[in-house]
Amino acid sequence: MQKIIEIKNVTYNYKDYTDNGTEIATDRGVNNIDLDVYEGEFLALVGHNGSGKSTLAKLFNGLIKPQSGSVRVYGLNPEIDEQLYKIRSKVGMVFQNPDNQMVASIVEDDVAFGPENLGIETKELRNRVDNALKSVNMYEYADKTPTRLSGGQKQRIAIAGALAIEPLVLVLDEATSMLDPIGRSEVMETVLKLNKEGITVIAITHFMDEAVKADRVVVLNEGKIALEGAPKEVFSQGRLLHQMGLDVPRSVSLSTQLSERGFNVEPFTTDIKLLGDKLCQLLSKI
Amino acid sequence: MIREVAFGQYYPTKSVIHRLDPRLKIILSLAYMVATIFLVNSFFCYALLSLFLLSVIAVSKIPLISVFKSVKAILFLALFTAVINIFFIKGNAEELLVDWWIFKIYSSGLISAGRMVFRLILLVMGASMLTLTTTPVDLTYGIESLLSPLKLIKVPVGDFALVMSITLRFIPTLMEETDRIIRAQKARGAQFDTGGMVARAKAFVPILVPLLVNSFRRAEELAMAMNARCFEGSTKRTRLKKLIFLWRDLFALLIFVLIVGFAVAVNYINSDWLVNFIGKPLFDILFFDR
Amino acid sequence: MSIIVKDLSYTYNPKSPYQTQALKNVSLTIEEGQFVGLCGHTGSGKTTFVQHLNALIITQEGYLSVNGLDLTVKNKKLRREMLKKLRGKVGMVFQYPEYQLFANTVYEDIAFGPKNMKLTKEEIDVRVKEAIISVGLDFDYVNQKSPFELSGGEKRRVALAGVLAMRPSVLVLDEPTAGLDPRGKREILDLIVNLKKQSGLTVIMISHDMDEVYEYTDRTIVFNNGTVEYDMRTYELFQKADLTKLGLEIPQMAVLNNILKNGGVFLTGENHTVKQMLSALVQYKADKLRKQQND
Repeated sequence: MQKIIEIKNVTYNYKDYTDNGTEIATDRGVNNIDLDVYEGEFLALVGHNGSGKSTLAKLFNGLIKPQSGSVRVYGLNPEIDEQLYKIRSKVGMVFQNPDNQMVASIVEDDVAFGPENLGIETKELRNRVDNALKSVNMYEYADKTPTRLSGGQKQRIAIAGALAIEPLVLVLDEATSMLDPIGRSEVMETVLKLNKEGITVIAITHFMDEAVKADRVVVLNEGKIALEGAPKEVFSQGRLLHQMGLDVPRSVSLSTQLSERGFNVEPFTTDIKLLGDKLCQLLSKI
Repeated sequence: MIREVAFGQYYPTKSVIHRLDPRLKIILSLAYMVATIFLVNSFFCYALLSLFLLSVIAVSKIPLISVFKSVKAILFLALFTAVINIFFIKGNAEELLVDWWIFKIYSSGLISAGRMVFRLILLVMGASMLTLTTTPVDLTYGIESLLSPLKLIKVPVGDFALVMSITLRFIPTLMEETDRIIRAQKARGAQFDTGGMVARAKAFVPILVPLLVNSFRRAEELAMAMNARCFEGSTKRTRLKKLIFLWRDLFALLIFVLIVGFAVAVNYINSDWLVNFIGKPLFDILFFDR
Repeated sequence: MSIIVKDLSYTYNPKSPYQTQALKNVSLTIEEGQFVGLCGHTGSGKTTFVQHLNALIITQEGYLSVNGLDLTVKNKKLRREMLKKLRGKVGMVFQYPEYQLFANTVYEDIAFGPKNMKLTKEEIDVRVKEAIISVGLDFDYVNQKSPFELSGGEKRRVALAGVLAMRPSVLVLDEPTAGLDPRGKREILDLIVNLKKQSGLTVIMISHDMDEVYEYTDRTIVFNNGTVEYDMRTYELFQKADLTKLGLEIPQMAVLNNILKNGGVFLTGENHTVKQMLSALVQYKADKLRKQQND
């Protein structure tokens, strides 16, 4: 698979200020991180609040620039202005709070904001907006005002807003953390569908049941990559994850611990029903 | 509970007036207002203009009551104007109607008061027809489009329109947030309706501070989201919606020019010529205040 | 000392085109010391319901009393007296409560409630200290800090402390763990359980996370379209009721409990958590093996 984003030895630390305004360096953010993203994959970035995962997300499309090290997105360098804007048209982003990323009071006007910025002509704009809204299943809301919609619907509109730029990569920065379960599954379904259609997805989340669906999971801790691999490999490290303030999905945790205690069950079972059936089978045989 | 506010009191019905080009509506409303204040000066012309306004209201399918509500806001001003006119305008001796204690009321004062109040009501109702039939979003589009020639002299019209649009977008969100904060502080025993002026003003600190802090946070996040969506200032932006001037707009313009234009024209036509044309008796009735 | 609700109904914007009925004939009783979960999708009426409990919403129809206080009194004077007595009794922690912090220091912010209760300076001092400690923060560390300098989780604790400082006997929490990471969630919930143990607090928690509800609450009330659809012991609810049709998820451990029961595996005790489930399964297996050897 082709490497599309290369992050090499990147450090980005936030600054603190004392009461009289002098800067203090901190180690909050990310420190000497190396990470590659491959075309078409679904990458989940997990980590507790303050682990540096949102900082990393903002590096992907040049919202922040590395203080040291280098970032390349499709070979483009975000530190060069003309290339920065090309990067942003390739990497779409959806943020946490659905209310704070909408610029217009009509759904279709909001979705149009990105391509309008790119100077796309009206006819093509109309096509893009319609297609984007259709692909997140919100086409019938085109002329509605977003304030009355549910959180899940608003986030799908935000995704449409990113899609209208026709990006190759979609970065979701804790896009489901303020939603109820219905909203979360709406958004996750949409994202999985888009990924299947070929968009590279990078999801920053602390919901482990979302990370389980990814092709690859990267765990961040204190600004560094602590674990990396297929969900199966990563979640088998239950104790380690727990120490980093993360949870393994309950079925995974239970099945793993059961297999450690001599039960003949698959240690990484994400489906609780499967685990239940297996247990019934096992225990009734004794 | 502060629910959604009817900003600009937009009244949704399906009517031709609602669908007219917002630019046309803005210009015609302005023209109407200028006509009522500066160009027309007799009751006959006011009658014409009110008839025109009433037909517009009828076509727009907005209940008359809703339009009248806008007058409520200027009721005090209208009354004040009327009183000033009635008591302070002095006419000829033969116009004196009431002479009691220090009050002298002349018929010319009454006529002038009536004219002023009529003018105010027409003005406000005309202006409110614009906001009642046009969504704030369309108004923004209209204003932006009308101001776009200013781009030539480097006025940032696009930025201005974007600011308006974002403001409109965030009004309901901030109202909701204010409501939530008020409730939260009330739940902690805050009281907003007791004590003197200072105590009351102080009581709002627990609402205003979080509201401000949250607004800054929102603004920051919004700026981030806008950057992520390739925003680089408004100069080279295109727009999804282009306002198109249609046949119905032209038709509306024609009707407006005919009726309002006629009212203005009648006002300026030489009285002698009018008397010749419609006869002295009719002239005296229609233009009694000339 | 309990909450009694009889035929409570509430309509927003009555007699207008925007009229919506949020509650319809809700009747229930909540005993002192219970940990109650309130579930239901957005717009089911649960938020309107809890706002009745501390008179943030004036009752329109029906009866409601908290600790013997009648919250439905209409007489202005009696109502003022009732509000005075009710003040602080029902603590309300809103969603994302950290967005309501306002004061220059953590101390001042937490003291806001007690100050409104017109307590003495000494009493306020005692309560603020107690509240800060009870939410697991270091008093000397946060006391004079600006609440805006703290981390997200710390801010939420300060907001919680601000309500606890009023020493409520009923604590209402609207999605207290929303937006927190797993560790933060666990910390907040454990903290609430501890508070409940120490002071016999009645806790009413609105939550969308059914796993959380299953693990922590004794009783669950499910709202749907303004009415109480289910009101049962949490363990029983997820055993009996079909909640998927209301758009609610079934907690993982509840799913497992049901499968095991249907498959003839009868575990001892009610197993709400992974830990409980694990030890019950291990024990079940061991017991069965022992029996087999004995036979």
